[in-house]
Amino acid sequence: MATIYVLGAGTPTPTPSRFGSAFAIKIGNDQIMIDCGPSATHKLVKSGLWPTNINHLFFTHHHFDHDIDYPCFLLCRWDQSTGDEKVLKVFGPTLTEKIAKGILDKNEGVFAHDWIARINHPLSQKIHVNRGGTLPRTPPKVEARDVGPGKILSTSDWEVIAASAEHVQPYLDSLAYRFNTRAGSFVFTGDTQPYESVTKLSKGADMMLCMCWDDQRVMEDAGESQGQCGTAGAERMAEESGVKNGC
Amino acid sequence: MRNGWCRAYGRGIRREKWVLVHIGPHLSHRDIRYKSMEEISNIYRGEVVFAEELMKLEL
Repeated sequence: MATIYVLGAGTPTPTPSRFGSAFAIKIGNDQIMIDCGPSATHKLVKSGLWPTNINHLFFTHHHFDHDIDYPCFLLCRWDQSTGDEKVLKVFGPTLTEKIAKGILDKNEGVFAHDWIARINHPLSQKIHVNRGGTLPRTPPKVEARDVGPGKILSTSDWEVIAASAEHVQPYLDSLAYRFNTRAGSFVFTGDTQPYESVTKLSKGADMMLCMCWDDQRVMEDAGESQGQCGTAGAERMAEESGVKNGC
Repeated sequence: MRNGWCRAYGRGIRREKWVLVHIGPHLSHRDIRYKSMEEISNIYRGEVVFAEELMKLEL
């Protein structure tokens, strides 16, 4: 069985019930995150999951509503670690490697001051030991990789395939992801307008999580229908991909 | 891996779900949401889910 946790179901505009985009997936013993929008780490825990159990993170693109909680997630996962956890593997379009380095790198990372203080201050060392860790504490490590369309990863229980999505190119690249599991397949479209490669990726999927910004007529009247899906665009993708009719 | 998910299709179980996410504030408004979901349900035969934060979906 695969379980998908909706952590963030909103947009860059905060509302009392939604803000940004993030998902978690549980496939057997593996826990995976898709995007890391506002408060994703906290929402993950509210969903009954825990940062150190997440070993893979996939970014659809690098708008803030999809990645702003990434520094928080990286530092929290490292801080809560006792040192026995696996290295987090992160995949995403262009900028994914640069952002990881920009957060954690000892010399260039804008959040390096946090882990440097926690590694060296006696109080932080004590808390780490009390939590079950050992000294000396090691710096956070993440394996981040810029990826494009194609097969991204394959394990004994699941595989991930990416396809290009059409959102705000050429400023940001965007990817959609398909997960094939023994329980079935599901697709995260990320932010995209109806787009052939996403439709092809979604062919016959059991579940499609598709962006839907607004009622299509409202979007078209406001000139907001390019680069994203509204109700009609999302329905078109579901229909053309066979999520509607099977394959 | 591939054998595993081919078997899943082989069982012939249709469980398609179309989950709407990244929902803007206007569409989130109750009246707009109900109206849109009604329109969608008239043309889409599978299960449509209007995602809420902290919702769990099983497959």
